[in-house]
Amino acid sequence: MIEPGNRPSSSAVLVWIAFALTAGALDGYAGGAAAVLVAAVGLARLPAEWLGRVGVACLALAPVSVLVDGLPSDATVSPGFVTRSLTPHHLVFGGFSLLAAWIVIDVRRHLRTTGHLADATVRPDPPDHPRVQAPAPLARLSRAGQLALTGAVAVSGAVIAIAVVLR
Amino acid sequence: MTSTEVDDLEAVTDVAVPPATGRPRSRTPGPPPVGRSERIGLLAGVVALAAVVIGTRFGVFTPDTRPDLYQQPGRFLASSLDAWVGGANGLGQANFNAGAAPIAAVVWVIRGLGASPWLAVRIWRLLLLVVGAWGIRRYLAALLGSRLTVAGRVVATVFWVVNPYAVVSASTTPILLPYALLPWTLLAFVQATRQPRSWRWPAAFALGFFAQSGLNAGVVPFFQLLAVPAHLVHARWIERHRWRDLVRVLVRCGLLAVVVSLYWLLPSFLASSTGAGIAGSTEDPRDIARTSSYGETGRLLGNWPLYGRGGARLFLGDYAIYLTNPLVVAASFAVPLAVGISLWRSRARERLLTVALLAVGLPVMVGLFPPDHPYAAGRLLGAVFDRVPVALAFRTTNKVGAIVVLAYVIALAVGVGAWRHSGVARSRRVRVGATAVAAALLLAASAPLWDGGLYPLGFRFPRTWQDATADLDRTGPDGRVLVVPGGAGGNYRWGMRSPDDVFPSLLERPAAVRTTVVGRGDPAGNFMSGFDTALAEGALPARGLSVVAHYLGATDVLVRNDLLTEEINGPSPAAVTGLARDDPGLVLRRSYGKPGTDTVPDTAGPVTERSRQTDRSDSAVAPLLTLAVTDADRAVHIAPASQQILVDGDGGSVIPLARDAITDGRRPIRLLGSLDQRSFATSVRDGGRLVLTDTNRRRAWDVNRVANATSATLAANGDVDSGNGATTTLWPDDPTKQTVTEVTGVASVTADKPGFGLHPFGRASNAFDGDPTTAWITGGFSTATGNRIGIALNRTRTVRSVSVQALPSEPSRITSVAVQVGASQVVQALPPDGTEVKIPIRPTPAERVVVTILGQTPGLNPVGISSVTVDDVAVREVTRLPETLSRLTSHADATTRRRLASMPLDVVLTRAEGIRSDQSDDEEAQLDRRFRLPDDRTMVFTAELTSQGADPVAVAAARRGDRSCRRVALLDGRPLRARVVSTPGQVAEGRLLLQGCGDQKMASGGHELLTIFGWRLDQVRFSSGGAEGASGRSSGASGPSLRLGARTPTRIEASVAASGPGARLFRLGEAFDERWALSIDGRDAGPPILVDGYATGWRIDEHAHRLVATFTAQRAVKATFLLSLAGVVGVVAVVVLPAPSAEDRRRWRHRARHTSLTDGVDQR
Repeated sequence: MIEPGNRPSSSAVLVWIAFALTAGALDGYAGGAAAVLVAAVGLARLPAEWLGRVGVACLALAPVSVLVDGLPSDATVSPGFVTRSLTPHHLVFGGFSLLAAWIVIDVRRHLRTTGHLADATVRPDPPDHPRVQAPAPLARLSRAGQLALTGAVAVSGAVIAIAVVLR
Repeated sequence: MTSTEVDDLEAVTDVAVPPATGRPRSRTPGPPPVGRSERIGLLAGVVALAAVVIGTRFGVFTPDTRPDLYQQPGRFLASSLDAWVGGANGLGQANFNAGAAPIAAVVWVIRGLGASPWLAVRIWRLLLLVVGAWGIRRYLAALLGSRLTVAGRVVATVFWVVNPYAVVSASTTPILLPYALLPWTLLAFVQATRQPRSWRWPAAFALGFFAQSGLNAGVVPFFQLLAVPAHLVHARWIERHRWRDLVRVLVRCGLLAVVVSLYWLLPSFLASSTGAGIAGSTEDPRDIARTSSYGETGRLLGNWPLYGRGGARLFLGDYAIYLTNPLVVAASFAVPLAVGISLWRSRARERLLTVALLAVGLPVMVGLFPPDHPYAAGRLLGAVFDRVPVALAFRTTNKVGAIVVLAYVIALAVGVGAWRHSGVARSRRVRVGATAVAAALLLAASAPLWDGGLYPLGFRFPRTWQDATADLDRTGPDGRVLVVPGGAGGNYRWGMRSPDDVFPSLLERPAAVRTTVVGRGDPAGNFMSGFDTALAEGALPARGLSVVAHYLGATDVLVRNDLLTEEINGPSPAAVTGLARDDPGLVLRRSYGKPGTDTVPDTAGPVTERSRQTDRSDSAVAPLLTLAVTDADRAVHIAPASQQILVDGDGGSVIPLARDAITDGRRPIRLLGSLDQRSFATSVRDGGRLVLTDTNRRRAWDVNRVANATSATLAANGDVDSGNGATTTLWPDDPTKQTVTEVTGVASVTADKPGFGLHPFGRASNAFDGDPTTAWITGGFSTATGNRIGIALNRTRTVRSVSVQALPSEPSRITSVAVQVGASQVVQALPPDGTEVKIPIRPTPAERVVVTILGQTPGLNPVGISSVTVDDVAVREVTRLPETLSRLTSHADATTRRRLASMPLDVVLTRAEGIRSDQSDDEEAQLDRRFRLPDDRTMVFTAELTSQGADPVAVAAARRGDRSCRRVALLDGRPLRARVVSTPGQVAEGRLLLQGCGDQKMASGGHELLTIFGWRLDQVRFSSGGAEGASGRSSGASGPSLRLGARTPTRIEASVAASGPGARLFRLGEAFDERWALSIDGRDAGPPILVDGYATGWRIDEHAHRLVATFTAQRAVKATFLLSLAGVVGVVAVVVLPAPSAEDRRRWRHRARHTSLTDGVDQR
């Protein structure tokens, strides 16, 4: 993604083009407008966090738009509630797409700053805490319990299998 | 990165930057322990949830999927193992729901512990919600480790259970079950990526996928797999696992998941045509997408039934609060807002996972929206739905919503964590305030949980149904029950509303019932639709019901008068009851319930005085009646082939055959369209009777009605799939086997499809037929504007005169039209009195004349155009019969032709009248027909019409007993003369029976019958005699000469005694499916044939035999079930049993080497 303060790299331009195409395919001109906004923020060297702010603002405006249009009564509920105005549709799409753009820019920046994003964001193990493997499922069961559970499943399976075969 | 941003990041994630080592550094310390206050809170939450889930509508049965899952879980479980099940119409279909077996097993255990059906529903749902809440806690603990805060965990737990998606979309088990198990499945996947060399977590993933079950062909679990790519992104770029390891994990998870799911994957594949047919007949993808905007899906709604209604009734009335209450609307929109703020303020690394989940989940959930003008992605999806029938199973894209909820939960958890680390949250007052606000928003966003509206659809089975079904089970446990009238599912005035009917829940015996949702061109659906449409339209003859019962092998008939027929244009209860009671082939067993209870349309409950006055006839009938079929046959049946009726038409021909006493319900019927040249020759050799009919009309179908539920009969190139349901027309892609329309006088007549549902009456040609009493009708519910009607002339000609006459309908009528003649267009206002208006055009060369409706007055009624006159152009629409017999004969050998010529042949014609009691809905104003005879015949002409359709002078003469010959029609352009032969009583009833004055010599080849003014014939029959072999009642049997042996849903054993010379037709009684096989004394009898219009059958010889019919797909289904079972046992063992330690492995290797050496010594 285009990063404010820097000359856009070719990879950033490619990512932006992919973003613009996807947004346009998903929400037409509104999606395209979101992509233009992302480019504008980048080219104007504004903080990318602005994208997050605008995204949140879009999400906040969506219910306002719905309420301003008015709510139906039980007697008038119909799909028209959704189709009468596309404004909430575009606002929510725009909100989430701008937030997504902001997050991707932010993550890429960390990645480029540290070289290894995961290392930059993973909490290290405490010195006195040995590195743990992902625990085994049902590791808390005793050996006998494990055997009993497996045996029970196997026996149940056998019973069902016999029933199926005899059927 | 600025220093402030770095500070923010470290504040949230407690980051220190260790040197890169190249090894994955993904293992995280555990989450905070569950403290006392959290434990108490969770316990209180579970209690509150239990109170809501069980206490709401206490004691009311609120099934969240097929009712019989809870009513008869044992039987449901058993049927899950069968590749062939009764299906919606009871005649049988391939089973695409084998995946329900694990659910049925659990519900069976719940019922076994003593829970009644209604309580079992609640316990099951509570169980799933608790399991889901537990799962999301485990998942977040694994994902976030020590960075998961207690507050974030609590918010996530609560939100997973109480959010709009969990309340509305997950109100059904097919969605709730996968929703509850998604976190567990993904927990296993996350851990698998962290231990890429282990089989344990892939095995756990497979178990999670298995537990999601393959209910409804596993659509939702498949949707939820879309969460996997997002987790791969997270694993690769955040946790830094290698692609090679991730691919290994993916392969292992996929492999094991497939193994444990084979038991439903294969049946779903085998039944894909059934499923695709049903999918094609139910919701249209564009209708589903009409409400799934980003706005609605963003607040976790958008599921179309929430916004739908049938008349005044909302489909999900109790959930409408999400649309009508401003507080609830605002609270539900606060959910995506809170998610957005979380994503904006947090710096947690899981934001990328959230974005990836949303990037997949939200667009899929939105699907085709806006359906009328979709964007590029929507157009692509629409093209997939249009071109890949199986893809229609995934048309309800809202079902992917669990992924979006998961993304929200992760965002909220990290957002709460970020907030807790911020300075704002240090104040206790702020924390309490924020907690109160969050709780209020969650309560409002899940309002139906707390306001008693959690279960919009619930009911109790009436005593009448329980008594009637119990009696039916007692009286004839083996025979079928024919249920009338048909419908669009289980929708009753006493409260049940379900796409699944009541019979599998209450009745042990198989029940046959017409349902409007059928597979495209499915013979069983065609047969049931044919007779039930006649019933709904009042066209069933006196013995019609018992004749149909014989063909279906029904020993009893159940009349249900409590069906919501008013919503489906169904017959009145009194009419159906009268028909059943008057049928001489039926004997009343018993009526159930007080007359008038739930039998009066548009009312419910006991009959009121007002109903008695306004609807006396329906108030007087009982809710349920059972009738016995006299001399009933079983579904499995055998009859001499010499008595067969070879019909050019479809299953609906049973009605005219019964009306004209050609069959009593026992003569086997074979449809000529199902025969190839060889089997045709064999059939002709067997003997029987030939009947040409005007059935199997090419029509598009509407699934929402039972009467007048089709388009008008289409031309050979008409779109048979333009309805909202699959067509029941047999061989839908071969118009030569269908009855179609042909126009004379112009090249074609076209009209836009009505905007509000199909109807057969008011066809386009009516506007051009020169008859002002008929009209093109369109535009109900104010949808006429823009609709066009037009003719294409045979050649370009100069049009000098056009006049238009509007139908004088009320309150809505057409006010103006645009008339396009060649390059000229004239806009013309039409007068309110319906007089004809001459359009001021100059002579214009034109190939087409098109009239477009520009305006209509207010009103919901349909409007129309009675007449469009273009110069001297005369248009007539004639109905052409199927040409199968003619085609088969033209390719037959001389012997077959000779035999054919000696067989009796009838041409049976019926005017399409729509509902008999409604004179305004006739599809055909006249009975005009074209048909082809296979050879020269001498025919006897008979006909019937009503006195309203006859010349009053002729009616008066008939009353006087005048039997003189009159010209009643034109046959091949020559007058067809007949006399009225009705008795005085028949004339008084308004029935005129005609008998031809002398025989009609008709040559082989094409013929045209045109009716004339004053003789609107309703039924016509041309009969020629011949050597039929046997006639009258069939000597077919399912009794002494056919003995049934062991029977399962997929295997039927029988033995037949020897009979007289000649082949026999063996009817299995199950819907036609080519995968049925028959062994005769151990030898394969070859592929099955279509018998009696709907059933699987075989032609067998006259000797005694032992017959075994099997549904061949069952073997594969059974094998995959066993494979899956072994797979489940295997993956459980892998998950549970401890992995061998390094020491164990070293010891085993040592032992193996030692044994090998020892073996070597021994060998020496």
